Order: sequence, then C-alpha cells, then structure tokens
Amino acid sequence: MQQTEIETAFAELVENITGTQPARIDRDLHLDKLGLDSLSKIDLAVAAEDRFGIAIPDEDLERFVVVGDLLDYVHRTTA
Amino acid sequence: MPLQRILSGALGGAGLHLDHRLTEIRDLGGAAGLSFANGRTIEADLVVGADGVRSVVRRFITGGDDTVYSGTSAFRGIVPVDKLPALPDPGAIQFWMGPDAHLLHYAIGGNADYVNFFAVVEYPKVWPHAEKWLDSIEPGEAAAAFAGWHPAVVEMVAQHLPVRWGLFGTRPLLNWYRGAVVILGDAAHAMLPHHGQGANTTIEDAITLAELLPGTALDGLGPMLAKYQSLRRARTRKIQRSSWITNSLLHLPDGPQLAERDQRVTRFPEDFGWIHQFDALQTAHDATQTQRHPAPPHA
Repeated sequence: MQQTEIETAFAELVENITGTQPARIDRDLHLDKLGLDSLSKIDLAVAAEDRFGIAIPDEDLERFVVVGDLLDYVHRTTA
Repeated sequence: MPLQRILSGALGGAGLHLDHRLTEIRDLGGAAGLSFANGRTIEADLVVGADGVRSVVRRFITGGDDTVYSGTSAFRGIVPVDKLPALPDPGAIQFWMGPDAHLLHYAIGGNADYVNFFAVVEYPKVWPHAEKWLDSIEPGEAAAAFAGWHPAVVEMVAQHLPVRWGLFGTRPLLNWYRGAVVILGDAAHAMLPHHGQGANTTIEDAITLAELLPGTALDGLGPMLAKYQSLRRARTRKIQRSSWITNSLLHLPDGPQLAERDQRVTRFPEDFGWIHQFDALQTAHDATQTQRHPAPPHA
C-alpha cells in the first residue's frame, strides 16, 4: 500500500476516534498530542486492523509513540 | 444458580442438551457440522461458541491456540465472617494491595455472613499443566505468600486452601467468526478478573447478538456477524488491556509510583465510567436502526 494512501486513511481513522481531523500528518507528532491515550490507541489499532486487514498485537501497539511508528508498521505489514 | 435458572426458564427446557462436550467443528459450506464426545453429531445453521478461555470453537475460527497464561495465580476461599475478627468492615468490597500480590474480598450470602476472597500472586511464571487451570498446593502455601500482611488478610489466607487457580487470558483476536460459527465471552476475549467484567462483557456480547440476529436471513449471516464483531471488538480489547495494566498497578512495589497509583484509585468512578456506564442494548439497537434506516444522502 502507498504511503500517501495510508496517511489519508490514518487521518480518517483518527478523526473517527477523536472527533477532530488532524490538521496535518506529522510523522514526528506524538500520538497523545492527537488526543490518543493508551486506551484510545486500542480503538485506533482495531480500526486500523479492520481498514488495512492486518493484525496489530498489543505488544506492537505499546511501541507506537509517534505517528510515523504506526504508519511504518502498516506500510511494512501490508507490503 | 439463579442466572442458569433464568436462562433455562426462558428457553423452556426444550432444546437444552447437557453432557455434550464439543470435540470438532467442520465447515459444511453455509452450515457447520458439530461432533461431540458422547458420539453425537449435528448440523447447525449457526453456532455460537461460549465455551470459555480454552474454546474449541475459537480454534476452528482462528486455527490456533490463542490462550495466554498471565504468570499470575490466585487462591480463593469463602470464610464465615465470625472467623475474621480482624476484618474492619466485613460488608465492604475491599482491595488490599502490596508488592507482587493483592487480595480482594466482598460479602456473600443472604445475610452477608460470609466473605468471598480472591488473592493473586505473581507466580508461577510457567503454568505446569497443559489443560487444567487448577493446581494442588501444599498446606500453608497461601498463608506463607501473605505473611506479614494486615491481620484480616492473614486470617483469610489461613483457611484450608488446597488449590491455586491459574489466571489465563486470550490474545486479542482479529476474527470472531468464520462462516456460520461465532464466539462470545471468554472464548472471544478472556481477560484478567481485576475489573470484574468477564461475565458482564459476555452478557453484553449475547445482548448484541440477540439484537442483531432477528430478521437476519441465513444468507445474511456474514454481514450480521461482521457487524457484531465490529460492535464488540474494540470495547472488549480495551477492557482486556486495562485488566492487565490494573494487575501491575495492584502489585506495585514500594516506591514513588504508589502515590500516583493511590491518586488514580480516588478517580476510579471517573476513570472507569466507560466500563460501567456502557449500554450494550442501546448500542446494538442504534446500530440496527442505522442499518435499517440509513441516513439520507446529503443534498
């Protein structure tokens, strides 16, 4: 899957969960700055699993700190 | 069991077949073939597996064993209140927390004259049995684990406790159904018991399925089961995750983290409202309404 495609989908998923559309997708932005705490990160993971057809185990999710961590994971897993 | 009486009463008794241990499921293309240990086989249009943390039905869906041992185990007992003179408030639900262990108790019985307790320790690191979740212990083993704790705790674990219970969960699953076979409860999302939500989330699953199922044609099972899964998967995964985090918080060693943990305990109603205020029936009902009456397109 293309990086831009993943970014667009990611922005939609974040908006569905937090109710706020991210102004821009900054790879270095901390996920908590998008309003995602440890539990809403699980909402994001489940939504991303459904959207991209991949599994994101808890132990991988724990390691996602910035936006780029998740984008890269999806890119790698869907490649 | 009052709950079993309510459920079997609602069913009327007919169609309730006890002593059928499921051993195998076969995909019959649109239906499922079930084989039981007593030799019976049946064909079913829909199978709802509520067969627990070591679910045979889940194995058919995911193809693997998704059971995870937590590295923690519990001693459980029921003690008459008059055997607990040191317990300050026998009617209360209380957590006693300490390094690598905790004990929860609450009153049971018509007159609250018994205390049910559940004491968790951070061992054994490896569970010694493949299938069993009970393990025999030596006399005094539970008491030794809580030596030096509050006298009320010591009184509880001093009872005759012949076994420890291994605490297991399931890893979060991507799929809760395959063909006409679906799972709910511990089979789908077994969690550690620290939020007391195992039975509650199971009932939520059942309510959701019951709300979605009526009016579903046999050839519409797939979309219905997908809807069920999408309504339930994120919520139960969050409670699962939170139950593991809570285990760590209950077992903190002495140190600066304790003050922060104790602060969090005071915010319990606000922090965990999302667990206790959830309305499964309304959520499922809203989902079916959206499905049956989709919002009009924007002009």
